[in-house]
Amino acid sequence: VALPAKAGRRVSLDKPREELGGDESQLVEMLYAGLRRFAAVVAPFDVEPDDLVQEALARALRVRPLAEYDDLGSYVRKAMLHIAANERRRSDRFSRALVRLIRSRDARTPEYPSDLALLKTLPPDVRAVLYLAEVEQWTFAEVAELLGCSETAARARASRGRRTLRSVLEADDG
Amino acid sequence: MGELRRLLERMAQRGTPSGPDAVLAEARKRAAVVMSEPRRVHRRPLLLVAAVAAAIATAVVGTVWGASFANRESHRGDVSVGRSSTSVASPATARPVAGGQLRFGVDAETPGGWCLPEAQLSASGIEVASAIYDTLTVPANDGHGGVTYVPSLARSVVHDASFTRWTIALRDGITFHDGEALTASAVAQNLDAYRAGPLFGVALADVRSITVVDRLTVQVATRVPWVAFPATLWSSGRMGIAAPAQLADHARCATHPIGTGPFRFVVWHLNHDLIVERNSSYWQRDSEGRRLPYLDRIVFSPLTDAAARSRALESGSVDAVMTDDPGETSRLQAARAIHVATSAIGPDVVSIMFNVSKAPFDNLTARRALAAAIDPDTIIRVAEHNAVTRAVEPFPVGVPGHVAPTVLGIPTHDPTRARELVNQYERDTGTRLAFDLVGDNSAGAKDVTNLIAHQARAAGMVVSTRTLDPATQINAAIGGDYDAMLWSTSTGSDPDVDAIWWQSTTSLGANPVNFGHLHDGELDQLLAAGRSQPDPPQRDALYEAATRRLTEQLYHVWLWYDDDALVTTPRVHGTDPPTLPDGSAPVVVSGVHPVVGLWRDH
Repeated sequence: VALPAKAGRRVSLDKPREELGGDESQLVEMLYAGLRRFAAVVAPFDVEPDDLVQEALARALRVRPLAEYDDLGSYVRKAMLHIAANERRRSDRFSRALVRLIRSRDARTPEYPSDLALLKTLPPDVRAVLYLAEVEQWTFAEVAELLGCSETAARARASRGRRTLRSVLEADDG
Repeated sequence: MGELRRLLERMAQRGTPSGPDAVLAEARKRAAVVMSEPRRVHRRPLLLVAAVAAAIATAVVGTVWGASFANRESHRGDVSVGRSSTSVASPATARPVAGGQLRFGVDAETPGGWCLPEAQLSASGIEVASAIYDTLTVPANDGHGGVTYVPSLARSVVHDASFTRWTIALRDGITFHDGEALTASAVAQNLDAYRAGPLFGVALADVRSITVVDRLTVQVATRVPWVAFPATLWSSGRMGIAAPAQLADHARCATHPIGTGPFRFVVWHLNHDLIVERNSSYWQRDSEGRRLPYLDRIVFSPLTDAAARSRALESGSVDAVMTDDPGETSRLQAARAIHVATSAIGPDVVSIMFNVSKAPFDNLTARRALAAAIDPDTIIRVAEHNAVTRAVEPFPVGVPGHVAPTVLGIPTHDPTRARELVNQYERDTGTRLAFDLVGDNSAGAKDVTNLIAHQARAAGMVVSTRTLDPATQINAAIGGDYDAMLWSTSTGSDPDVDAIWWQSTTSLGANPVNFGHLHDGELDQLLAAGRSQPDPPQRDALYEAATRRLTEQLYHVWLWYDDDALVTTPRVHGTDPPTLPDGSAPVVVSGVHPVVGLWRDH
């Protein structure tokens, strides 16, 4: 499937592997900006986006040289999403344990006001779909292929996210 | 662009890009570490409630058992903030020599690693952490035989008139080992992590908010006037400030510590060694203006057996060891070739702790009976070889809250009186005075537990004993699954920090580290009032009243004070810490021996 060239995706289509000559540095340089933006959206807020990109690249490297991936951008994005989702689950379990133990979590939540606070409440996969669809303007079919889910699931996530963010959207409309 | 897209765009731009080359280089390193040395990377375990509780107990709290025996692992608590003057038998120091490696035998591994907001650190763990991290405040000699807390990473720590707003101004120009600057934001992230963590969530329950004022200023608002807040910022060296990158890297936070301390982390091989090397751009200098630290490298090795640790020191295979075995310390101290540094004030206190939430020890007569039946002097002579100091109250001399023993009305060993009290209890309740006594599973603890049981049985009580591994014992204490327990509490500190062991609640609700399950309104009021009382004499009076209340109600039978000593070969110097950054005189507190000033002959 020939998708339109966008930052950090389908490198093998943008620039065949042979042309890159197996140069991982060049490959990562081409993908970096897009991957980093994606990481910034899906990563927990206390995680630097670069750290998430690094971790995902490290996972990829443990499997095979980066230049041997057919679609490194897609692989790394999926890896980042898995890492972010696992981290969120771990964090939630930890919070629940604390709540049971100490009863109240409110007093321990950070108090840094931010208009991004609402976005933080969305799961990473929902943020990922919204970002790819709204900002990078991919079709849901493309988003689904990139993230390894069905188109229906991608649409459902976007819908769920928009519902949650309704207050922001309404403010926007007003 | 719609609002949603704008927000997503903003989100996509957050953080500071380090560039594709740096990202790839780091990714290659991570991939290589895991592939080549899988045992070196230790993931933090999932913390379930019990584990969290245990973590609180071991990391925020006092010790399960702080006595001192060979072959005993340390389980010291962490939120003790000591008050002490040094009693250091170190050699007269010549001019420090830079360079060289120190091999340091510590008495326990820290398997959970060094992600400080969540770490469970024994005294050994704190020692390692003190090499890598700095704290905002440090203890200093107050010039009157006591301790005060002075700024360290902080340039100043000042309060408003009501003691409910503390402003922490940081020193400029300090960087973490990864090159990131120490900023107010970094400190706020650390304090938030501590508040959110299981370990300090209880201790910092009275923190209301943390605000970044400017690049180098953080403001902490508290729920109540908090006079001794600077002591909490040290917390026995537990509250080190970690690089934001470390805190953000959850996968490696425990295994790749990044601080501003005198040594930077190199590598950790679990149960084998942890190596740190000199931070060549460390911010502290000694009194003659030389940049600290002096040593090039320290290799910390866990040697859990006290006798083996001592042999290693005497044979020269290590240069320094930590030990909380007073018998071993005395023996080494007697050897001319060995130097021993101890903290004169600031140790833990070992006691029989009662669970006062249920029979039989919800009854004061029962507690009095056991107190009269016990002969601490005999226990100290038999089990501790007279190498420890008898304790008759929680706070040692020099700490606010200490009361002259002559006016305390200390229970004395009186077998006849014990029998009378046992009979009285049985008449009053219609039941035998029967209880189970819990201790940890170390050989020494078993000895003491058996001695106590023997003395109680001699007074007519029915005693069963249980020995538990430390984690299980902590959970038993938290859950109230015991009648009486051999226990060690960090009390050699400011009582503000130690009050948490006896308060029935905190600002967040139930207090899980109220191990005796006390619900003593009078004691709660005294401890709460002590936190907020700015006038030193009145503050002392409040804590002394708390000590009297603890003694009258016999919530513990105090046995002896415990300490961790730093023992070195004669080639090692500098166990007296260097002058503090603000020019204050240093002091060794609660067995935390700074490594920043250590050096060795070549």
